[in-house]
Amino acid sequence: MFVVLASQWDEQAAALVRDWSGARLLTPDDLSLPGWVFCSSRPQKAIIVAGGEPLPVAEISGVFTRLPQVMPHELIRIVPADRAYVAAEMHAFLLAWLTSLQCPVVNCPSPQCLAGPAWGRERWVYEAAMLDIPVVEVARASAGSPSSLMPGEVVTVVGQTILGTPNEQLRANAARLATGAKVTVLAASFQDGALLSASPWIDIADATIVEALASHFSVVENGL
Amino acid sequence: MSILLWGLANDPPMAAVKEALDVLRAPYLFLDQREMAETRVTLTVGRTIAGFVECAATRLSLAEITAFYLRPYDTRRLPTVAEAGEDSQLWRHALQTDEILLAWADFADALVINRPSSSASNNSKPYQATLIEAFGFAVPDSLITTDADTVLTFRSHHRDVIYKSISGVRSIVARFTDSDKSRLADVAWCPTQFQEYVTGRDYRVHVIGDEVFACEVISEADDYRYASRGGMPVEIRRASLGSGVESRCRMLAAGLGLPVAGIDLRRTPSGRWYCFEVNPSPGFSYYEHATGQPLALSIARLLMQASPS
Repeated sequence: MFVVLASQWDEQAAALVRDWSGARLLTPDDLSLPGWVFCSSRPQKAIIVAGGEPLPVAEISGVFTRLPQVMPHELIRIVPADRAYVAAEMHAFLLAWLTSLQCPVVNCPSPQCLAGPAWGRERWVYEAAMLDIPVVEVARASAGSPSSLMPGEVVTVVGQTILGTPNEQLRANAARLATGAKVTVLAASFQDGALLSASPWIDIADATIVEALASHFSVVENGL
Repeated sequence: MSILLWGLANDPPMAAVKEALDVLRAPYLFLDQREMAETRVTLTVGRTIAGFVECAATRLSLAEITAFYLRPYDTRRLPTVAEAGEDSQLWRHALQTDEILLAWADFADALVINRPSSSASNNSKPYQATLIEAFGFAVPDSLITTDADTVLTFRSHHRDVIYKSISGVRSIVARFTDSDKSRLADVAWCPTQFQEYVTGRDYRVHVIGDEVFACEVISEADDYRYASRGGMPVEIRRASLGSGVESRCRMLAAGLGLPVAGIDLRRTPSGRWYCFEVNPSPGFSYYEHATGQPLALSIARLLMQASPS
């Protein structure tokens, strides 16, 4: 069973689950249902609730995370005064649960983001520069607004698969950045061969990306 | 030597570090969050990193900064920013300043106490517990659940159980009693953390660089930080942990990437050491006041050591 962790308003995630047989959607709403059991000394025996139904962790073969953090406004079952606290608690719990899993989790969460590193454009550019990848300089000032990002050439990394460009240099640089950032999936944006920015948010409305993702989980699952 | 401080002037730990730097006659620039409107920050990242911070007519290049001590509060809750409102220029300026400084703090070529990404493990107690365990400390058996019956089973297994928050949002540790059973069904709304109650004596350990300052906390309260609310006394006194435990504390702080850390330990009657959490932004002045340990001075010296002489 695959689990896709996403916002209840993430239509692309819902569509992915509909298309993938054996996948189940887990949203923050599921955390307000009885049935969750997570014991720190026996995380492999945990039981979660996904799609409103209990699911033993032992039956989960992979998790795809699309949720950066639990947002208070999504917790419509919770009284407004408690939403910020409950969101922090749910986020903290999901981090502990996701990092306890033995199965592949894409991307591995970080304490600040459940879907990978919580990096802004400055950090992605910094990491790329450290890897000697050409970069487009980014400037921020407290007195101004963040500069709008020009659309670039997006290269998508899904495990060992690189999509979006035949340019070998861009493919190699996107793959190196993903490896350096310790992420499995990455969308890297380039302009004239230099990195503009990157993020863990790959376009799952793109059928080729979804196919690569399914293939990645299958490869990992089968140990090929 | 250029030391940057960022936070609130009336925050006791920040005030103590400032005072210690004054005593040591070390130059520094203090960015007071209450002077947000007069603060300017720029950051440019490319092949190199450039930018500056400016406050009270003093400008400091980011490249010059050798040490950064930060204890920022939620800027949006500062009275002037909150009153100005979300659509105001001040609000946007405040958020931009926070974002830039926090981003830079994570990759600055300086000693940062502490980097935000390293501090973040404390935002999830059970996640941090798995990291702590790897350094040889015991951690309490914990249950996180939305299932009331499971709580009762856990309690019957451990006999004595406490409940506490999962996140970094500060909450009071409380003993689970029979009177709590009537509201146990409420756990269905949100995963709730229960832990075996560990008997023993509390210790707060501050690791500052290579230095370790331990103090013993004598209190009958379940959570000594709030003992006064129940009219219970708290006594805090200097303690020695022994070189083995001190060394483990040093390795734990370093392993979490924290040059300064406040570590909460409990020693059981059988001599087993439990670690409950590692605080990346410890309110050390409370313990300094109680024990006379020179914690602020030690932090100030650490900030100065990061600077070329």
